[in-house]
Amino acid sequence: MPRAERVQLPWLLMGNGRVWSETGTNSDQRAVALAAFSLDAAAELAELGQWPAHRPGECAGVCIVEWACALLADRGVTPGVFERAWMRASLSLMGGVREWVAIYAPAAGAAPLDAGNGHAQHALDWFTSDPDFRLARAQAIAARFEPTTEQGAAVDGLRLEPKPVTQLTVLARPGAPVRETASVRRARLRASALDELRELTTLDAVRGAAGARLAYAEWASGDYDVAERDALNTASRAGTDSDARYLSLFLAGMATQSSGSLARAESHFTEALKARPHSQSASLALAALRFGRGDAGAAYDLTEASLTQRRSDDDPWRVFFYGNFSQWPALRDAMRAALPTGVAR
Amino acid sequence: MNRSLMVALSFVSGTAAVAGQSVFRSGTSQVTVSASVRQGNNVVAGLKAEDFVLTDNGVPQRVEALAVEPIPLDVTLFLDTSGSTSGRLDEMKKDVQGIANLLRPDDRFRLLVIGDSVVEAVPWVAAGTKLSLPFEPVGGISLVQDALLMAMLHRVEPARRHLVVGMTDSHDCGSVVTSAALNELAARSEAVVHIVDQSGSAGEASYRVRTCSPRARQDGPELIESAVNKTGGEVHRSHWFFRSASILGNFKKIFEDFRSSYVLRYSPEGVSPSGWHAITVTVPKKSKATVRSRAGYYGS
Repeated sequence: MPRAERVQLPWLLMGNGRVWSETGTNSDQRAVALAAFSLDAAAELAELGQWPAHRPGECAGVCIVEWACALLADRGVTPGVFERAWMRASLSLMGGVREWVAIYAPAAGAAPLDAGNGHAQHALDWFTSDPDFRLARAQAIAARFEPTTEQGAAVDGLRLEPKPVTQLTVLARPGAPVRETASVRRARLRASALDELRELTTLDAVRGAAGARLAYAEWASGDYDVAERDALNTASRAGTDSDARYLSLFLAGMATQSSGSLARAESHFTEALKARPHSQSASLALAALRFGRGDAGAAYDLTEASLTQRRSDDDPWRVFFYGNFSQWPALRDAMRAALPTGVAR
Repeated sequence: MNRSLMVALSFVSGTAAVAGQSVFRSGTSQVTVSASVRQGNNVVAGLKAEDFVLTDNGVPQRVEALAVEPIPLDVTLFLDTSGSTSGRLDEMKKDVQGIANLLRPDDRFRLLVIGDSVVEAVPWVAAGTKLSLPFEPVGGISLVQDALLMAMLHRVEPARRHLVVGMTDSHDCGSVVTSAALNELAARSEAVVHIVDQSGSAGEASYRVRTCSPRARQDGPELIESAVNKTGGEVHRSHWFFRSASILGNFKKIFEDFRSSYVLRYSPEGVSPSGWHAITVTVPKKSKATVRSRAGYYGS
């Protein structure tokens, strides 16, 4: 299909899809098929670099996801396996384009950027307290307010505001309710996200992912000791999940390195590489430390091995900043597999 | 006993700018330093040992031997195929073949590219090997700093020298190695690093699902250039219109500069063998010349 048509496809779906889905006796199946296909169309927009809005009033990729979500909701059907799979896939895709705000806040309109009515909330409306969706929301908030400019470098401590801007000060009338400023709201949101992540570390289903997100947020805030402790705690409970153990130990190493304890950081990176031998992020971090202290031979060996014995799977750190987008192909396939009988796959 | 020498800190002294020389290992306690001397675009030839002033931790040293030697090169080419430059991928593949053709028979070559990680697209091969370049661009992350450090961390045989050339726009996103660490470690590397700048007109990237963090450093390119300078290399800007000819011209200049470097040998005297040794090299009689060299090494 030509590029121009691929770009237009989502808009054609939104323009004509609902009418088509409401035609005939199998409207429920048509709506489900449309919702599933809409995710593919949205992914195509992202692949083409057309996900973000280019004109005011448009929201491109997010709109398609939300349109399909509404299509599913309007059926009034009790959500089941397909709806859950669809939600997981859509949140994964949104993470891949770092669409954090739309995950926890409304995609458009005048509502304040506050948790409670973003795409993750739609999922939670259907699947109350589902750990995956709680994690998606908390991680989106934490990622949105990530205060680093470069991995590991907390800049001026926790900075939740963008550059200071000139703004008009409006004096409140005596007795009027005090409005929460943007910075206070962001701090509150982020604190709530961290609380949520802490709670999620007690749940088996998401313990590893939540622990890593929590440790990262603490590290990025400059709470290096706390980040190291929580990362090690997560690693110790990772069981046979080598990716979760690797990621936590890597984060422990980075946090410890930031605190200046280089020998301990080396130890954490070494342990991480036991979980995932030759993975590049920890290999390089460890090589840099060893090279820095004069052990060039060890540094050469580490980098050489990470190149020549490179693993074919994703290094968990390399995909960390995109939510669980690395699972998108599997989640998309799971969604297709969950399509109700009678809907073409 | 072999000494593994690592180097740091380029410097400017008097009117002779020391910007990039290379220290590498020799078979004895002798230290070997390579230095290129240029005046404008021309190599300054015909210098003798007594024309150089070399200090080790501030202590003047006697240059025992001087040579312009046809030392074989290990060339690591690193190609930034991330989203920001992927529109030029076909052009860059042609460039790689053209660059490989500039090598001499004793030289070796490898190619690193940025994917989800830094990938060795072509492992070490002898010059003249026909290259297969099947790699594709990967969007989202741009591990320029990681790739530069990985390229530098290569064990070089004593009789060879290591040249790293990166083709990138120097916009880093997602590296484990911070710009500060890169600067510190580049100064200690045995490799000399050059970058052929690929900024601007990146064309249409075909894969953009993942996007770089908006909080990636805006001053990244300047910090990377600083690190490159510390190895004794420099950033070369290619002409946007005559792109291919411009890039190959840059590479010819880089190779020529590297191959025409003077090799100075000395046995350190009056300094402690261990620890960091800051080296300075100047050519007082050529006050307008630019002297490129590494800035030191670690003694064992």
